Amino acid sequence: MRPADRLQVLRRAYAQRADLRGLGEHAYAVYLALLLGPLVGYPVLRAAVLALSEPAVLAVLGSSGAATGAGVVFGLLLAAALWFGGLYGPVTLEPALVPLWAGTDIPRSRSLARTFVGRGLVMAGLVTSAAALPTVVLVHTRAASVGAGVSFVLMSAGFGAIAAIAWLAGQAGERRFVWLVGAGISGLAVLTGVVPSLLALTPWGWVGAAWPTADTPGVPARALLLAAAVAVACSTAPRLLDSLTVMRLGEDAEKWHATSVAVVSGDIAHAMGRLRARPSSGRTWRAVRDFERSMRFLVADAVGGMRTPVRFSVGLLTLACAGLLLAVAPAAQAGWVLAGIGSGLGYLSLGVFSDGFRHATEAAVSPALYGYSDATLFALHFTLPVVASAVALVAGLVAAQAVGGAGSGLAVALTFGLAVVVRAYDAAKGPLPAILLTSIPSPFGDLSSLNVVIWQADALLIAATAGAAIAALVHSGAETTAIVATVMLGALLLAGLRHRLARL
Amino acid sequence: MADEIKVEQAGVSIAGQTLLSPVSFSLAQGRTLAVVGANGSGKTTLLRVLAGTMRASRGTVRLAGKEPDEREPAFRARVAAQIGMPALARNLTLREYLVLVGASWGSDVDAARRRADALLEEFGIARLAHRFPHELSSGQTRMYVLALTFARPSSVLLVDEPEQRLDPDRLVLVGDALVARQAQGMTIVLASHSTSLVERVAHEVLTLIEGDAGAAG
Repeated sequence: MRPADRLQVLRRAYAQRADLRGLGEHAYAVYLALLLGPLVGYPVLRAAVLALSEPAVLAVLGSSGAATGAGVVFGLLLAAALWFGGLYGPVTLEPALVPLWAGTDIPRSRSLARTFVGRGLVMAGLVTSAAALPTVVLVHTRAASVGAGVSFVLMSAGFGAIAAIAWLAGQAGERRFVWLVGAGISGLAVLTGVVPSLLALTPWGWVGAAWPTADTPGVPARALLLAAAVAVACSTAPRLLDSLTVMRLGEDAEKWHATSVAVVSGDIAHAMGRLRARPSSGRTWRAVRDFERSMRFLVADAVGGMRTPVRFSVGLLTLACAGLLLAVAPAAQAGWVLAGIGSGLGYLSLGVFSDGFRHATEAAVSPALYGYSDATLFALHFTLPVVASAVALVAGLVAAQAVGGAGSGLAVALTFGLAVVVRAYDAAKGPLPAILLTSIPSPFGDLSSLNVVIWQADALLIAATAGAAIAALVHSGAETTAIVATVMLGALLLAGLRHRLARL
Repeated sequence: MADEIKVEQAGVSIAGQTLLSPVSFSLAQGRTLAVVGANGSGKTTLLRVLAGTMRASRGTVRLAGKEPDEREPAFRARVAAQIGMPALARNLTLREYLVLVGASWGSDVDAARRRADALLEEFGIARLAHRFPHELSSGQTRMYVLALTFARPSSVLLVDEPEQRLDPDRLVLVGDALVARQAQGMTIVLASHSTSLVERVAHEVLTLIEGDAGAAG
């Protein structure tokens, strides 16, 4: 039997498995999509378009630096796709399918091609959609012509194909090499932002040059170059697929299967733990030094964090971006929205510096190992996130001044301080209470999953809401109220942390 | 010699389910008790009660004259327990974490380093000193977990089935380590399925039988 026929037989056999979704389940999924599309999708899309249509935003989108900025973003996207492949590759199968699809004598470039093409199209589709959104706004407001818009979106789709190949390369490559190449690409992307003339030499620069309002000469030539780059990239896909090892495919499959089970059962913390990067470098760095104990834990946590350099760097960079958003928010129009986003970002990125809280929680539920109480151990692990927040605060204020905004150090300090406390509070969360799984019938189906989502995201919601409120209070001049409210909320959260630890 | 541990008709039940049938024994300071019995007979539950992480629902348990309570700093200083997997520091090497734990009990970092090196040597994992926890095999992890438990000072040691996933040579090392602690005057309660380990280190044996009172002999 030919390989293609054998694959066909396998697919048919798999399609007849017992746990396959029935027609009813598919119909329900369509029903849900039809209901939620207009209710959730449309308003979100409309809000995004309206936000992009604000005069201040339009001015940025139409500015002379927009093409350079877009180019840099595409460059960073390429690095991110590569790194993402190291964590979650496009060819991630059900565990049972790994021996079926990758364990026979059929070349993996044939047996895994369909899976990769499907996921690759999703990646390319997402890149194209992201590029289409500002393009639609620019064309709609007549800031750009339809032709320029179409050209940019088409080139973005091409770049999406390159990003999909980078995603696969991230899965197929040796991890350390992938991290290094990703770091190299992101460094180069930033460099092209500083020296825009270099953009002409890079694929991301070719796409950036086609930015709808840029009116850059030579876009057709760049489009041809990009098409050649897409062709070269796509030609490497079979070799990359063949180089995927069954070990890696099995590891990814098991990891993601366990993660999806954990997510479905509501144990997000466990799921994230499985996905968190493992240390691989810097094992000879001295993490435990003969310092005073809070300094000793600061150094140990910092060195421990830097042993996953990409995670640490991305966390610090995101925290600094959050600092910038929070700094400029109080002076901006509807700044509470910016502050909410900045605060949410800050909370998420602080996770990189809060491994110590998770460790302290694990230590609290085990027989005593440290010569400290649980509270002291938590307090010692506060040092790194506080120091990281301080660094991000300064970086945010400097960046705010650089972009001409009047930064508010108070709003950033209060928001970051609270976000650190929220991180500690969230670390001791414990398992999902079974009562939240109680069925809530509605025309949209069982809404108990909404309860679960809110329970899972409570810390993020607290951080984002508090950040928005702090910005609004500082904006209105009620700085004392902001300080008092933040301290009170922080005290409440610390009391909640104490309560959670006692219950674990 | 005074009893370090005294247990009288202590049992544990949760929602009508018996996890540990009533059991009585006493253990003098510096002695070693091996708790044996089939799976489900309550060995780990008994260790949890002694470690102060679970309360007996009947009877009395006294450790140094007081009810075990891991919230008490003095109790924590006295009792080291290896029950299940302890918290491991995923971003620190084996040696670094041993040093951090050792230093948390008041010794200076240099002394904690020397102690960490000695423990890694004692448990035959010195060559793994610069590995991260996820880079260990299950047997190596077992040895490391025991080294971690021994890294902190204590006068009472509770160990749950240390023989799990160990080859005979590693098991001898564990026996050596326990004998060395006995010589230092440590009181040890050991739950085990290993006849050779029990015969080597136990002064007394408590046999737990599911649904029946345990008997020390």
